[in-house]
Amino acid sequence: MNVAITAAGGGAVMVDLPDDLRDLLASLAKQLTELIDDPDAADDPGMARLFPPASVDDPMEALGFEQLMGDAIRAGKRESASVLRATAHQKRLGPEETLAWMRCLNDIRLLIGTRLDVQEDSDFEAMVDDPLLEQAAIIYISLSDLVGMLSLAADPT
Amino acid sequence: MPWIVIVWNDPINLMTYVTWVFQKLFGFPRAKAEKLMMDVHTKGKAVVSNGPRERCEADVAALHSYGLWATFQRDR
Repeated sequence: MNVAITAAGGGAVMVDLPDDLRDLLASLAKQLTELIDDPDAADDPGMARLFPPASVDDPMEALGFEQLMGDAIRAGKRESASVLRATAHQKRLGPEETLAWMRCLNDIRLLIGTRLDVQEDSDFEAMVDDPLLEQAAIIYISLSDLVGMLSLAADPT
Repeated sequence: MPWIVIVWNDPINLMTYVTWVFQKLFGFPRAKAEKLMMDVHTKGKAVVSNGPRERCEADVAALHSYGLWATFQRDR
């Protein structure tokens, strides 16, 4: 499987990915949006990781922040997912599209990683050998590769 | 400067990604972004910005948009 992401100047990147991986990314972005919009998903640990409390020791402060910023943060994540779905099959991503890919793919990593209970010393080989975890672990590893490559290829300045 | 923004270590975000976000959001040179990222990774947390409350709230919102685990508090 040929996977390569290279700098294209000015924050843009060229993405060389197989079509089935692009389809998977678009599908995952769709699922992420559905989860963000699902009121029953609020207690999902993955959702809690995507929208962490903004205060460590002051619940009122965290609540105030959620009321002030929560809608904008959710809208931003929806927008990134929407851009990824619309550009999933592009060979070249402009700077804003690159940003959306990074944010959305990282959000999906956070969601899957939380469900897999990923820790600093997690044994991914064992996860891949576990039939119940295999698929999620393979997707997680693949997303890690993509986010890592994007972080190296995209110019943050 | 009464308020600070803290980024906390987590086992999922990649070191390359966290460094990239610090460069992108705060305009830090790569070396400073890498040092802050290593502080987060090895010490468990790092103060990444400070200033008026409103600015810290905006920074936390931006960091959450990138999936980093960030909080704000009074500098004490």
